[in-house]
Amino acid sequence: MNSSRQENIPGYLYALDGLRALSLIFIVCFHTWQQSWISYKIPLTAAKNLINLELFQRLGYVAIDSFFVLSGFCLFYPIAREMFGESKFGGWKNFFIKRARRIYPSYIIIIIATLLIPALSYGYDVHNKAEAAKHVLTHLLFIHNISGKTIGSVVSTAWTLAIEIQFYVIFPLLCIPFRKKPVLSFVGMLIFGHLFRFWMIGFTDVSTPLMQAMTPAYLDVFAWGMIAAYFVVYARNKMKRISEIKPLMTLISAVSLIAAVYYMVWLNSSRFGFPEGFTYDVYFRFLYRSIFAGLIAIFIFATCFSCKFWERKIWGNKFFVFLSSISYTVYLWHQNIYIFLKNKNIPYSSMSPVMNDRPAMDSMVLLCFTASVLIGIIVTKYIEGPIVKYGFVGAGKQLLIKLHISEPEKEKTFKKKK
Amino acid sequence: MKNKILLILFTLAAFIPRLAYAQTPAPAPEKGWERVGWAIGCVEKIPSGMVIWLIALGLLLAAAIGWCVYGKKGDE
Repeated sequence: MNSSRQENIPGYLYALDGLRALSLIFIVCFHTWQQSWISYKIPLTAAKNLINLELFQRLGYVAIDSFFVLSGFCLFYPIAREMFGESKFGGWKNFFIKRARRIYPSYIIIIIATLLIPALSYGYDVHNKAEAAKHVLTHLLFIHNISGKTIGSVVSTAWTLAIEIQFYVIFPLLCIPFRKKPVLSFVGMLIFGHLFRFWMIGFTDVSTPLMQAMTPAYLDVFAWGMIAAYFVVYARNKMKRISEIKPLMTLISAVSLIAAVYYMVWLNSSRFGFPEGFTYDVYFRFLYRSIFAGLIAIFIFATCFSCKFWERKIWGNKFFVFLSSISYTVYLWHQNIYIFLKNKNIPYSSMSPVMNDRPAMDSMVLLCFTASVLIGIIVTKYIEGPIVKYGFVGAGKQLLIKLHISEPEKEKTFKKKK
Repeated sequence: MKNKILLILFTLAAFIPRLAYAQTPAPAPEKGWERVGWAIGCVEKIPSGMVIWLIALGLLLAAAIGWCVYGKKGDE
């Protein structure tokens, strides 16, 4: 997932790191609830709770859409900046190289890990070479979301990555009309996304896990991110007076978040409206996903022009920036770590199902959080970071230098001509 | 053909506000726009809290845009 953690670079937006971190927290909390059945509550009385986080845990998956809005934003932001003369885009070759450097290292590491430690995944038989090859190949090519058998089979959360990569492929084509007529193109993508999802609901018998993993169904979500990026740069260049209404923009940012919470309340209240056999959350989000994506886009836009305290202290705080920097690896690993712990019955529990053993589940959650963050730090700092900075070959050379296997390149000295 | 178009329009009209009460869960119709309409009908009505916050958001955005646009004209 794209990051904007270069704080000293002009155009850095604190809102993105904050939103990315919060989205990661929501998704990890959802998977925690899913795996452990633990709902976190702080009681007020015997009958009432002071804080009940179950709603956010149960519905944390909606944050997937905010990740896609963020992606659309981060992808189009450099292009928008070029449109208004702020900076140069750098070309499509550079774009794809940067994406590959960011996506592949952590991804390949976890795929190799599932081959070496089969208990990390439950979707495929590592010992059956033909089957394993099929699952791994579809994952490496990011096409594992086109079959119900391969979705989440190797890396449990990677179906969203397939959608992301497939969007990268069509993104240069989408930019052609988007550069010329951004609002019209946005409306077009909005309509297409909705029509595709209506078609899936009304005219196909595709299963819901597969329905929700189709890239065209997210076109409007990405579009919200792209149009938000366009308007952030537009406002920065053409609407100078926006800097005079920071308190109003802060209020808009906060209200958009509150409305997003009410979207979750609405989603939750629709749980029993569908008959058995129909996954209410998929159908609901197929119909009304754009509302949430729009609220997230408005949040990003407003936060970029909000008061410093809101933008930098709240959304750009060090914890969020840190979490955002390791978010990709944590996102890839955490669900697989839960699967591993459950497969190995760690911590040990004799109850069945094991989710009824609250102390064991508390320990499992703590273990998973710790392991995910540690792996996130190690992979980001020692593998992903050098590759993003130096490239694949350059990172390899740096590693050889650090291991004293090769000498660093001598600095060129320039002699003054007499 | 006319009925089909009317059905599509009513489905889209129901989709936008979703202010009606939800129907009791019923078996899904056969494929077609009826199924889309049925899915919309299964969704609970939009909470009043969300309507209020969305209206508030709309007003705030209008105020912000109005300030930026009319503020520029005022300086001329």
